[in-house]
Amino acid sequence: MKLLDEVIYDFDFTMPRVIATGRLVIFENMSEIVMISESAITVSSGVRSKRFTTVTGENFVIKEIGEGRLVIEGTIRSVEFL
Amino acid sequence: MREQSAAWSFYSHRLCVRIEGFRADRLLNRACEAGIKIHDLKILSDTEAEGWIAAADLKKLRTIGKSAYRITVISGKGPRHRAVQLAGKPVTVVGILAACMIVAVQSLFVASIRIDGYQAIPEDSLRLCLEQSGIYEGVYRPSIDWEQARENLRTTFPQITWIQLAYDGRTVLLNVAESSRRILSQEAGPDSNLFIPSGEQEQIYCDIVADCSGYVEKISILWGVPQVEAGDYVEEGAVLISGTVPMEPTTFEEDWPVEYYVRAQGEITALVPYRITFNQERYIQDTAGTGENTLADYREKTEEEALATVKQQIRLWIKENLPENAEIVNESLNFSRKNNIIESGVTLEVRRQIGIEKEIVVGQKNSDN
Repeated sequence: MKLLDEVIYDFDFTMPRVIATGRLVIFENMSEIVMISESAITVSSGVRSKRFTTVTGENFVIKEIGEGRLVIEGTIRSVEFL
Repeated sequence: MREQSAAWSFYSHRLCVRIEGFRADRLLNRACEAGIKIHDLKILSDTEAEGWIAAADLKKLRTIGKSAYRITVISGKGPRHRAVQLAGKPVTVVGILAACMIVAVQSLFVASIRIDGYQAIPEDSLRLCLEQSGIYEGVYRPSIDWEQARENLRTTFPQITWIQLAYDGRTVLLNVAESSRRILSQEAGPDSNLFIPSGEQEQIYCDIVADCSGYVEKISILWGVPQVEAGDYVEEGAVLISGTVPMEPTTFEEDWPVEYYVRAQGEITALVPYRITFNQERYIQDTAGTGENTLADYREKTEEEALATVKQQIRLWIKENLPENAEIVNESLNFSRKNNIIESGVTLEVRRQIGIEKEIVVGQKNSDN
């Protein structure tokens, strides 16, 4: 990765950033929750041009929410960027 | 800092709340903007969610939710929550306080006394001395005069060279070190008679042995180790109470002595049989005779006269041969008439003390080798 790309990656707070493991998804740069249900959670990122990210799966538990960060635990099936 | 405060507030008193209403996401967004931390949020259905919030945030969350959401507290956790719960149960609070008070009060009383390091001094004697100094199981600990107790121990047992008297929790610990040199009674205090023989007897380590053969009827020991028991037959010279006391090591020293010596003391009552033969004249001068000292003036003793004579002989023998505390238990007489004498066989069964002191010669075995 080039240096410029790394700087953009680290300091771009408009793009959604998702860290996903087997049973955990961490959303960063989240601005708000758009939709929440038993099997899917959709969050938006960015202020002017909104980008949406959806996680689908089962047995979701929102472990932590606040300060642009959302931690979800459960069975993850897919992560979609819209 | 604010983050830490919020975390402390959450973990000290947190509530599980149920949020009922449409579009729970809107409420969550508003809560995030207001700085309310929501943990472990579960979406139960399209209109129901459950999560944990700090108790301090409940009012704020209800304000944000307005009438669009119904927020119900299901349960709570945390020390403050427990305290709030307890405050509503005065009987439980009183019970806990009473239990704490009992524990606190009990810690002021001595529960046990542990004694270590003693060698020749019996543990019972040390306990007795402590008791006389006001240290015993159940005593109120602040009332103990520790310095006085140490002084009493030193006075009572001059052979003690070092004393550690302390308490650990509810246990009083006494640790002593003894001198190996012999203690004279002059060095010992006036109360030391119980532990160290006084006067001329002080230097004698002795056994109690039988001064005659007999059947042991009763044995009571003051000092020493009993070697016989009631019902035993003992020969003259047999050791009844030994002054050599075996010792159990209480530390891991290699050269720990295996025994120590005391002046054996006790009372041994035994039944001792005696077989004595007395002789008396068969014929006596008759007062109603001729007065010329001829054979005609003599007559044979009657049974009563012979019996009276032998009784007198027995009394004389007892006075000369038996101690004052002897008691005749049984007596049997048998007369046999011979040429000019009457032989009286007397069997006596006497209850008496048979113990006498015999000095122990310490180190004789080694010098012989």
